Amino acid sequence: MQSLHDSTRLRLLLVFSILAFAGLWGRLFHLQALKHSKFESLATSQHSVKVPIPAERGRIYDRKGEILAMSVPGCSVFANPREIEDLAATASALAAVLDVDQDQMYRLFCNFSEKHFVWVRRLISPQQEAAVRAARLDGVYLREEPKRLFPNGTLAAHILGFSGIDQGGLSGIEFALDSRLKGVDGSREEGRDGLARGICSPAGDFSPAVNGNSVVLTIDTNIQDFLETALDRCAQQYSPLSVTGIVMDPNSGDILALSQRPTFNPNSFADYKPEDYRLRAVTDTFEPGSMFKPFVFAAALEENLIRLDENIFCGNGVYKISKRILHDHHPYGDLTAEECIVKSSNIGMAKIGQRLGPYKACSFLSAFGFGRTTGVGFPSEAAGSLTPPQKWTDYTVTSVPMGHEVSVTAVQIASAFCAVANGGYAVRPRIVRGILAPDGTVLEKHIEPEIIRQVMSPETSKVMISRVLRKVVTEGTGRLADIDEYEIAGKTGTAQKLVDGVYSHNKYVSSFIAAGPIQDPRLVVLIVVNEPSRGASLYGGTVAAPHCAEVLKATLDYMYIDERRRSRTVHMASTQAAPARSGIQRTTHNAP
Amino acid sequence: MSMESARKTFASFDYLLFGAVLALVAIGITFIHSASARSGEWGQITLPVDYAELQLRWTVISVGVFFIILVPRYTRIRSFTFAFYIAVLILLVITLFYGVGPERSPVKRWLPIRIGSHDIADFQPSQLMQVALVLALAKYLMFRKSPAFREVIAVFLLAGVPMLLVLKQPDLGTALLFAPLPFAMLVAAGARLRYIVSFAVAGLASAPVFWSFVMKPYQKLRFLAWLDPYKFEKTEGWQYIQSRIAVGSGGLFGRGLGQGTQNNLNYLSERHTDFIFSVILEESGLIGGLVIIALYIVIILCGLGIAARTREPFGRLVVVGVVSLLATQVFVNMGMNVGLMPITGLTLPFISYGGSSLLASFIAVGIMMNVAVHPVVVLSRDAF
Repeated sequence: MQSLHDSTRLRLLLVFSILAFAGLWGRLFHLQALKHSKFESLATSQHSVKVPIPAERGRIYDRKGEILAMSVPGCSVFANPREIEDLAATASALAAVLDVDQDQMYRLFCNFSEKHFVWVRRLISPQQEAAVRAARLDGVYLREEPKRLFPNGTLAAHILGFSGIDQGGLSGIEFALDSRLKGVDGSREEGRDGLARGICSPAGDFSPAVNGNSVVLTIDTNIQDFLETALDRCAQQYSPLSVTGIVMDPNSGDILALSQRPTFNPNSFADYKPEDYRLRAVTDTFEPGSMFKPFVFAAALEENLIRLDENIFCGNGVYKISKRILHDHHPYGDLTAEECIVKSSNIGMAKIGQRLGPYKACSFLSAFGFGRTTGVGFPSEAAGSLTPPQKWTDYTVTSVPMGHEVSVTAVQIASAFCAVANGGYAVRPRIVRGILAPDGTVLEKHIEPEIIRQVMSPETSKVMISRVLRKVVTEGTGRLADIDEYEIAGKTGTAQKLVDGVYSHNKYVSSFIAAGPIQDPRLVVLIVVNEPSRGASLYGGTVAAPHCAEVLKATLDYMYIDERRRSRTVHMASTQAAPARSGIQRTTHNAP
Repeated sequence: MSMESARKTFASFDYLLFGAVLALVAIGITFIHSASARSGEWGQITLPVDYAELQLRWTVISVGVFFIILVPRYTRIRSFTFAFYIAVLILLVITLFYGVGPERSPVKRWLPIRIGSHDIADFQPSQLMQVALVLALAKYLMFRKSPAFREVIAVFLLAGVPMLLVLKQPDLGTALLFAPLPFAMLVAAGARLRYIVSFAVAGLASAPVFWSFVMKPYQKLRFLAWLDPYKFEKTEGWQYIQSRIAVGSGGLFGRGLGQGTQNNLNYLSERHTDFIFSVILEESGLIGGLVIIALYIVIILCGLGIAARTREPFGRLVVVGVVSLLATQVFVNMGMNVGLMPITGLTLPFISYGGSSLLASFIAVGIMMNVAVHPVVVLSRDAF
């Protein structure tokens, strides 16, 4: 029996407490000695945060330095729900100011009530910004964010494309050249305290943002405007499914204008259907119809298989090939070879095609660039289709010369026509003229034409433009394109559309391709009208040719005036020292 | 006091104990300063007041009270212990009806002391109960050599009734302090170990009942957060995670005084009061922790030494009770700082900021020292 005076019991208590504190010390050893590095990195990771410094996205200019796309400061609203006392009241106040659903806003806050950050609304209008500022809501903040602005609205919308809320390019040039435009985001290390407030960090890492490069396009805003005006008028007149137009410089391959209807506004792309912003000129293929005839004809001329004045019997409108009977719109007896193009005789072209044969025809057509992508630089470019010669049938050899059993894109046929117009060389179509660093330094410059190959002799080219295709405009199917001011050459096309495997008799792709002036072609203009549906005549010569001529005339006028003005400027610059020009102007100063 | 008794007092004054206490207070003031006023490298965010100055004032007051407590002979209060116990028990009941707690909480913990319409101070009856319970248990056990089972039950009832009243407030932390007290005093009083162990087992076995009937939902949540802090990362688990990071990132030698990022950047809350130990461990490391634990063990050693030297059973038991209370509070506070215990609102004696906490701790040491400097000659049959 132990007594009260026995110290054994006190020793027991002492041992017990020392054991307890030894256990505690063991815990300290575990945390501080064994797990030290883990906790130290946890501490560091929570109090030092890498804050991104967004790079400024580059601009897009036209060839004259006109701004087509730029980033401007916008304003977004975010909230820290943990700082909001009354979620419902704040939600209703914000809903009123920002014109959003109140319940939806409240649900958003409830879902994020434990978080420190939630976007309320991105890129609000200046009026909304002022209203949010005036409301002085706790836990609601504004943050400056870049906003992509397309100052010209719908102009050149399909070329430019658009970029998303986080400034990533989603279509058009914005997408194709996203890596050049976006730059490299920088970052800085910032301290964060326990209440998620930012504080200055004494030794934080800092890497500056590298702003994106700017892109100079080959587009000329004025020419683009001429083309779009013409397309608008055409679309209004014939209510087609779509209209596509291209203006190219045949000598350099520069695309001076490219557009389509219906169009969209890249500032509010979300309001439009995807088919409205698809760049049909490179993604959509179609059977070109008679517009294709000059390429086969030029091949036959180049190979000396025909003479322009030789007679070809056109069977009075009926020509039997194996089991198929070929018809002409108008029956002809004998036509000269030249007249087969001028009057657009299918039978005449079929016979020329038979003379050329599959192998020669195919090698010329692929030299023109058919059946493969042009490499113009837009995303999802279609290659079209050109049957390889060993698979050609008796039908193919007669169908292809009149533009069937072959499919092309608008850019492809416009580029091929450049070779007909420019003295015979295939040139790569081009949309990017140069790339500028943020400080204006020229990084890339595409002025010299990229010549792919010589397709035909300059003589053949000359004959095609100034004689054969000129006659189409003066006395053939393209008479509506004959204008007084300039001598232009061209070719009509009216292709029946394939509907369920059968050629339709009321759905056409009506087109016109033109070059001018014939003495020294400086422009190629193509207009393709997909399913014109209104009007007495739906032929390419009626639907597309007048608009083509209109664009040609306006553009040539503009170019001559522009050149006269520029020669005056150069004269003045040489007499009185002109101010140093920036990189943009340097690149764009070279005449188209 | 005659010259003779003054000489005796100085002779039997436990300088080691007092020195250890003052060392802890000094360390406390240093780190209270670090936790509340010093701007570290990260700077900028500090609490608006330097609590170290206030704590220094409280230290002066507390040391004064400590010396006043030394003057009267402790044996004089023996006859009032039960009356005192019952009076405090009544105060605890009153607190349940008229008590107040922190703003906007249903907790009833303090009795406001008012003169007219002026609030003078908030008084916490549960802290007074700690003293009253030690005295009552000492009185009850002083003449019971090897208490019988029924007397052991009486001891647990004496401790259990106020404990339940405090739990009802609810104040889990303070209630927890009452639990080891009867065990320690029964051990010292020489009760059969088998009784004591069986009560300990019964106490543990009743934990599920305790969980489902006594614990409030917020207390359960804290407990669950203790088991898995990352599941409640941004809410209940936050403080567990942050204090663990503070302790762990301190390493062997600490980040240096005023250099703790967890401390200065507001990751820890209650860092100058309940979580001062985390700050100390972050800034002075394992070495600092070791020094502080050693100082507390010195206090426990000195206390038990006083108990061993005291032949008079009441004083001996009072000292054991006071040491047990202090040791429990130190252990629970340190345990919650390093994640060994769920978080309850308890301060670290002598170190945490807080006037009443410091005063209570000095009163406890004062009682121990009073017993040491007023030896009572006891003629006992198994003396010497």
